[in-house]
Amino acid sequence: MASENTKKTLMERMTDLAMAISAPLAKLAEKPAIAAIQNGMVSIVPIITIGSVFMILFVLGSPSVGSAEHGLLPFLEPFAEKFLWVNNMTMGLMALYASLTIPASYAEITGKIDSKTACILGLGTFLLFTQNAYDEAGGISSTALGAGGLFVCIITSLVAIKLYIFLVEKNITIKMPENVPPNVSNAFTSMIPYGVCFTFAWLIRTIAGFDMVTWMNNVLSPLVSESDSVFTCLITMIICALLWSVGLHGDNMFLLMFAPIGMIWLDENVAALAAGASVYELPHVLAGLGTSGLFRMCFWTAGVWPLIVYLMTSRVKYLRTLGKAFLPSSLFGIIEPVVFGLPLAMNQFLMIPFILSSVSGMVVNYLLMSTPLFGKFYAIVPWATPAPLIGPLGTGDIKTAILPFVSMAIGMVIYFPFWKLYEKDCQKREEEQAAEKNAVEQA
Amino acid sequence: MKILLVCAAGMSTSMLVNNMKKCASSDIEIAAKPIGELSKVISDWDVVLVGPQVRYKYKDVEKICAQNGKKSGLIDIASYGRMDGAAALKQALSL
Repeated sequence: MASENTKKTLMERMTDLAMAISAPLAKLAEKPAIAAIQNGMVSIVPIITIGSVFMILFVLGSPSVGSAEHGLLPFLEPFAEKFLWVNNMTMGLMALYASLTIPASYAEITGKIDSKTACILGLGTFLLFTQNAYDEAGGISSTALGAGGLFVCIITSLVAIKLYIFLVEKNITIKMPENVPPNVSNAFTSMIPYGVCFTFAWLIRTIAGFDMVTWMNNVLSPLVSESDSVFTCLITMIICALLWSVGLHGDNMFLLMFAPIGMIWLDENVAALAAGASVYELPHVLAGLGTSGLFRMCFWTAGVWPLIVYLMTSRVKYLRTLGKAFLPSSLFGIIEPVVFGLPLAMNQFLMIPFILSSVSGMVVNYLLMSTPLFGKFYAIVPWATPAPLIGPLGTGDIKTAILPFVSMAIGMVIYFPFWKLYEKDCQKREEEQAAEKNAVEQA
Repeated sequence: MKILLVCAAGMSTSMLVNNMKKCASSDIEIAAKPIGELSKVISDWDVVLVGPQVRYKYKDVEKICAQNGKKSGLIDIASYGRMDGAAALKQALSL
């Protein structure tokens, strides 16, 4: 009796904690600017994924990656540098793409400016804020257009759209007579706001000479680089698992906020590869955090897969049926049926082992991956890829296929005692129902 | 009648969509989409149902739907868990 009481209060406390965390996060997620950044980053994931495919081809073919004398597939060798170019023009220019997608998302969310206008405004402001002259060969600096300019791009996108909406709402625009076609008058409406945004950007960058990208990279880059640690992994995993444990989409509500940082880490890994490092020596274990990478590889295999195994081999018939029903979608990382169908969310028996095994599985995998034994992520893999394939595809290291099973084994052990209690409880209820049914039939 | 279901990526709700289609008459169109695309596609739909895992964004959805004169509802957690197409369909039709 006593133990039951303490368990209940522990679950209540965890629920309270999850709710306390989710309330401010939900408020944050409702903010148009935050939602715009998140949606904008999600929009560039496909571009980066295409870049990733060519990066994989580069790694397979290039003789300069690692210490091997030839690439894994020597016939790709003549094209290696050409493959890299596609990555340079996609992942390597992520801030340029984001300077279109973040303003467009912001425009869609606020509904006060059409997306085409927002794209032009965002792109122009970003370019003028980061570039001040052509170099001798007629080129512009690509540093600011890549991961290094991502934070600046977020700032210029949001400020430009805000300024535009402010000016239009204050009626500081060129007015056309009513019988002018809307397309024409729209073009004139945007002229003064464009002019104001572009002039501000130009004044700061070219006239005052303030290069925010360099400044940010001096101040922020060391911080961003350093923050890829086991503690980041631990804390983000705890919050994410807590949110899922009460049935909230932890990945989208919380992890997605790390997408810009995860992309910067991914880009630093790619840069290291292109400079000749092997996949085992790359600097960032959490590369791709928020959209791909380690979390997608090990979270569900620790938090949900053990449960599927226990369900399918249970003594209780309806649990076996549920297990079979959950299996196909769970293999592809779609776990909402388990979270709401078992349910796992708010389940007094399973909430605790879910959080414990997700967190332990993830931390162990982080530590394993940070050793030189395993490759690190340099490519983005679509999230619905079965977990054992995510490592080999994203890191190019076949051995990483065992990592999801390591976290699953940890989960099997942690879940076991809790599962036994849960199964017993389910069995009791099934027997009671059967007895009731019998009683009704006899009567 | 056109019913749109939204969740994070439109994946798990698409499983519910399949079950709803089994119980729906042929003049009802049902589909699932990511919640981020809602404001873009809202004009094509009559009713929007929201998956419980993204209920933290429900207020936004309500606002978008109200602005466009559409109806919205949050899918009941239990019927979502059972992937109960009939219950979700009934909810959509009753809004």
